[in-house]
Amino acid sequence: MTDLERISGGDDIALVDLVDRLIGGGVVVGGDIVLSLAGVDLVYLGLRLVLAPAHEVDVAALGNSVSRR
Amino acid sequence: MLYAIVPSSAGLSALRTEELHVHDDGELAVFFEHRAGPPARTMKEVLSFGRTLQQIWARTSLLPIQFGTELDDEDELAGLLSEHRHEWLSRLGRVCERSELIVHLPKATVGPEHPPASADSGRDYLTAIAERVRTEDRLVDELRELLAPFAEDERALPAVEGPRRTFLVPDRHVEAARAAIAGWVDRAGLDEVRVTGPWPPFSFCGEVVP
Amino acid sequence: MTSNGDSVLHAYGVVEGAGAGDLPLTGIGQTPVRLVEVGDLSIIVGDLPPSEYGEAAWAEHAQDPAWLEPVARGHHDVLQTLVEDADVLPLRLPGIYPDEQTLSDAFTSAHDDLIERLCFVSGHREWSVHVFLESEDTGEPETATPASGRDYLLMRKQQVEQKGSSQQERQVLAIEVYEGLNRTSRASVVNLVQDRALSGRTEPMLLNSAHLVARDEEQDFLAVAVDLDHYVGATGGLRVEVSGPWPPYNFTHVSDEPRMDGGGP
Repeated sequence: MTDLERISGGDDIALVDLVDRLIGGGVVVGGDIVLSLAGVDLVYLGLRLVLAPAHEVDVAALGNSVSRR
Repeated sequence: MLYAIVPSSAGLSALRTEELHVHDDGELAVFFEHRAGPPARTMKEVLSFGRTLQQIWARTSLLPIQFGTELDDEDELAGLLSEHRHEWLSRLGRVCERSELIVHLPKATVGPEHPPASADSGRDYLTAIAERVRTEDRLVDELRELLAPFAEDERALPAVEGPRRTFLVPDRHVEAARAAIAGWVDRAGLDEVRVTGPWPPFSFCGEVVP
Repeated sequence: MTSNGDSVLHAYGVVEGAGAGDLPLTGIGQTPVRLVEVGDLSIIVGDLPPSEYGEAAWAEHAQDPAWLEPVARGHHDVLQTLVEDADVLPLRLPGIYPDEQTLSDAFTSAHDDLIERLCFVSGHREWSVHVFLESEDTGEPETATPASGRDYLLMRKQQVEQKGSSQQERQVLAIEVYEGLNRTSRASVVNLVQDRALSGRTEPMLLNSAHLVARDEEQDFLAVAVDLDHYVGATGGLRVEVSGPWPPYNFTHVSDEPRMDGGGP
């Protein structure tokens, strides 16, 4: 196995891991000011839209003429 | 640097800015900006890129292009469009004039799963878990059947409290789909089911297998 | 109790034991962090400007990942630092209170539940486990992966007789990883596998689980993980990745069903 990651804070934590925990986990005390369900969904949708292009689209499909770094 | 592929339309010019340009060939259009060099691959740059995508999404469906993709000039861009026209029109066709509806289902269980104290109770433990899973899945199955006339695709989303499921629904069916869910909730007494949306179908763009 | 119109209280987490005063930590937006005493609990809070972090700001900005990201990291960093040495119950985002009175009232009414949850996690930390398929040999469609993490457990029951496709064998291996680590944990949860578009990983994820592990058993847990990684790697081309320790975000829910510990459901 690759060295076990010891996450101790900092930018090495993936945003998705944070959001899954901070929005989907943790305890809620006092309901006055919380994210609405729509708000929660928007957080995930926004995140998906934003992160997907950073990772996903198959660049090989764009052809050999593309110069990429 | 490229941002997104969108269907050609008159309204796209409203999205043009000083930095953001559109190349439109009548069928497909691509948003891009001129850059001196590649963007730094930092979270900040990625999120800024994403913000631009969100602004485009507010107006039109799109296929997001991988962050940092660069071409030399618009001729190259035109070549790319003609080479991939069919594929991209097809992918856009799957999300155009469609929205997603997200359904929050009630939790079938509360609290963490406690590990069994002994091998025997392990079997009971798995049985009980399986029972809870079946309860949850039964609801999802009912929901899927209910929306079968309306939904073209579905995905599971990370749970927040209970399970979430998203359905890709043509815009013209959204009201009927919502009504179907409302009827189901009434009949079955499912107070905890909630629906959000319709949203631009973020969950369904970009995952078409080419 | 102070009521300060110039700031809202952002609550990060809860610790046991009465205490008040500043903590040597930096929170969201580089602001100070302090404790507010509520009975025999202490709440970790920050005083934040309402225009930037109050209710209206959340309503406007929460779905903007560029806004949310530093807030999430700031919230998490406080808890991460504390969990190095102390037991802390993380609060979900956003935990905003207009003043200390409201905060105190809310936490007073939740007191018994909070004590129960703190007891449950006391002496433990969360560890995150992902199992990946190292390489896609056949390009099988993703729908073959169970849509819900909980499906694994159902499949386990149903899979006794099943042999056959390497896909199913890999699922069984993923379940074995879960079960092996579950045995060294106080509690475990299986979550939905992460969307590739969000995680940035190209390899398929077969398991996304979280485990609550006693501080003094962490080395055992990690040793089991290493063994499982070797086993599933050799048998099925899978890889086990562990990250942690985390504050116990996945173990904060109040349980209102009977415990299943040996005595049956």
